[in-house]
Amino acid sequence: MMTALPRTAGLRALRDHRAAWAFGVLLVTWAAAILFANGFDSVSSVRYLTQTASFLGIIAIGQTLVVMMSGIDLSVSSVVALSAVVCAQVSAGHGGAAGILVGLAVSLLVGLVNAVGVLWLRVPPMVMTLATGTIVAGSLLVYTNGSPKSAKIGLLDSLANDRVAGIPLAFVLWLAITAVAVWLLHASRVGRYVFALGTSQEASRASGVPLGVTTFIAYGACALLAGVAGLVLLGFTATSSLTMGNPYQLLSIASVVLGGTSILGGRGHVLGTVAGALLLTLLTALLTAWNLSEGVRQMTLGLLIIALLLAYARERRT
Amino acid sequence: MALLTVDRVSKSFAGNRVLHEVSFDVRAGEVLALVGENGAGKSTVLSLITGMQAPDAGELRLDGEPLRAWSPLRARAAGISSVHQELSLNPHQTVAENVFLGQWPARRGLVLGRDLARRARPLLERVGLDVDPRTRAGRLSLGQQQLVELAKALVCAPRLLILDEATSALDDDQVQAVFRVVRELRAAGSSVVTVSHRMAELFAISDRLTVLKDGAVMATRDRAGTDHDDIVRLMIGRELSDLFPAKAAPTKAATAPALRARGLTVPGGCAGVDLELTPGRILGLGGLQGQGQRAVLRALFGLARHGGEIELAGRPAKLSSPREAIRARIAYVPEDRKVEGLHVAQSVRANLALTNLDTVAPARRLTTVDRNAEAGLVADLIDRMRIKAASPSQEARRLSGGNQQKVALARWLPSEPRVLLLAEPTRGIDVGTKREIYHLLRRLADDGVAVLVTSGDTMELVGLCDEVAVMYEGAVVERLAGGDLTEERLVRASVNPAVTHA
Ligand SMILES: Nc1ncnc2c1ncn2[C@@H]1O[C@H](COP(=O)(O)OP(=O)(O)OP(=O)(O)O)[C@@H](O)[C@H]1O
Ligand SMILES: [Mg+2]
Repeated sequence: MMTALPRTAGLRALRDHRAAWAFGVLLVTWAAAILFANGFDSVSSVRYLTQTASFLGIIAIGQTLVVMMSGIDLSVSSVVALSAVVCAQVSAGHGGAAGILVGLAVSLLVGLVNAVGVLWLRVPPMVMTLATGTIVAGSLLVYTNGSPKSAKIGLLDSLANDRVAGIPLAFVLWLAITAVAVWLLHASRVGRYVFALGTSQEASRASGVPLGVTTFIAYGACALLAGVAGLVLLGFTATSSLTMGNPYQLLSIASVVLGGTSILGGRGHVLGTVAGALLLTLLTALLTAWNLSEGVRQMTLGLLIIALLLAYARERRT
Repeated sequence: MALLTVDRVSKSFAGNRVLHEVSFDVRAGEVLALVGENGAGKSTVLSLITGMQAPDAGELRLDGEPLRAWSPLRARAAGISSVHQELSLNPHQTVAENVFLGQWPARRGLVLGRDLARRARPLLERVGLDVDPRTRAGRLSLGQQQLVELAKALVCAPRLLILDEATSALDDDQVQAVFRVVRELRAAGSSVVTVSHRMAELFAISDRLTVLKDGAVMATRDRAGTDHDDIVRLMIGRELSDLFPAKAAPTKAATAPALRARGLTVPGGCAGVDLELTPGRILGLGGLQGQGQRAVLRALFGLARHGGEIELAGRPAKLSSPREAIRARIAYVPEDRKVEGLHVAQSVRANLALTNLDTVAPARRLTTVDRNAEAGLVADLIDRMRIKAASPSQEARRLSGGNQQKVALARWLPSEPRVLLLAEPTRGIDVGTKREIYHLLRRLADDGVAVLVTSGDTMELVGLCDEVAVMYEGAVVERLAGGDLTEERLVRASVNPAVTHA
């Protein structure tokens, strides 16, 4: 069913089963964390979680747009690094503002290249985005000679670390982006096109859905948001690295799917992704709190993702 | 002795009662027709027999034995095979592989392609299908695919064959082939249950007719004891007068064509087709199935690459994508509504709104969808076309076939197209609705729309169209209008173009 988000946004979102499930699982996990683990009951821990979830969340919102039209973007990890590294590099010579602008511009460019490949060269999204991602990663290595710069840019620093009324700014930014995405995907014409394309390419073509514009918007927005996340991460750590985006590749897709969006497209809700990103961040924090070794942590996280998928986000048979 | 007894079965979907205490039986060696409007519940009853679904109440008995834990697998093992309304071939596999799907003859676990083709051949011959068993199923026309489905159903020599609109995509010749199979089965003592909206066919082949209306059995009649009007009355609960509307008045001062095509050519489809679509007139594309009719429509809607010249309202135009065609106010209702005509996995609402987002989500609202306008538009269309849906949020695939077709057509109406292209507009549609659609098309034409229709149903072309262009192997071989437009002339022109043409 195509869920919409009118005035009764909350209600509708609830009716969309799987997105609501994601929130349910999130709440239960959170409650369990507070009850059974140490350090999850403080305001500061909530702050920290929402703040760190924002990095993943911003990327996952973009990923949702792409997945909803039955695409996928495997270049996000490289784009995160790209925007941060380029921004750090440029701001060293031309100041922070220039760095931010150039960082975002190159991110967007990658998205547009992805769209061109998917659209005109008809390369499957998975292959196309993986290829651009690899190319970007390689060129970063060349560009930085293997040693990316660190940078302290005021705007990014406060965006990543400051708070308004006790709420981390990064989280506010994430929510603002989510609001726009909710409008775009669930209330605007483009959203209808995205859902239509996600359900059937052929029928969409014969209905006059603008395949080109929609593809550019989805892949463009996805890459741009990955770029934004890269900048916020740069503000958070004040250094850029070539691998800083790596964890977000699969986690962003997992957030989308755990949020109840069909990996085949055409079904789901952006708000589910918010729950998915929070849930994954929470799980990661829990596993860290239990002092598991890095390897065991990754294994457990992977198993948990599979278990959750089986529990409520499995593909339906048609 | 009854082979199969359906005893007071009921079935609901999400509180929506679809079958109510339906009872009938199928005797050994008879052909029983199930008749009813779209959404009457025919396919649903059949799905109980084939084990696709289970009844909520009531019982089915085969040879007097109640069916327990019934499933498609068991039904097959019991000698029940079926051809479904929906095509289910795997387009990427060969015809032979599809025919033997699931029961491939294997030697030491190896499926032998040559063997498969050899064994498929007699079955294909039996259903009158002259194709190489090694062709991919996806390359066949819809009608040919339907015949492959039939061949597939014959693999296990059924005792009960179920044909749910198995002839909807077939032309007259192909229908005769199906009849031949049905008669053979009957002669061998097997039974056939058939569903079709082509009344003439039902009368030609069935021994008894059971009429369903709104999920209840109205009556079961012997063929000898009933006629067309009687059945229609039972089906829709009233008389059905003038199936076809009056035709356009012959030439009110030559109107300029809305669309003119010269030498329209689609590689592998049609060649050198000249057409003039005039406001107020309904032009038909006749001929045997798969003679390029589909290619013409797809070219005119920008879905198929084509050569030749196209003029819109006198001005040369290029139609290289559906968007351009839509901008030129051309609308297209494709024959395969499940693939191109509808987003079957989306709601009726979403389907109806998608083609009208310019009005429902106007630029002045920053393209935000206006829910009220959308609801209004959807309610209006559902009302106007009498679409039978549980609610606007019902998924399109859950609609009965006829109602899907109505949605596929309805979605274009608000944009007031100038040219309307329809492929098989009444395939799978009940007589009452057919009449509605014929009258609607005529009304649209009277309002100045130029209509182009393809149809495998000769009677329909003759009854509905002002002129019919008969196609053969991709070219228009004959144009019939006025007094020349008779079923006989049409059939003759279709099957024997060389003679009539000479
Ligand atoms: N899985 C389902 N869920 C909900 N409603 C359903 C489902 N299957 C069928 N229906 C509803 O049941 C009714 C009967 O459908 P059915 O397909 O049996 O009609 P039919 O007589 O075969 O019509 P047609 O001639 O158009 O094929 C329809 O109103 C349809 O919307
Ligand atoms: Mg049916």
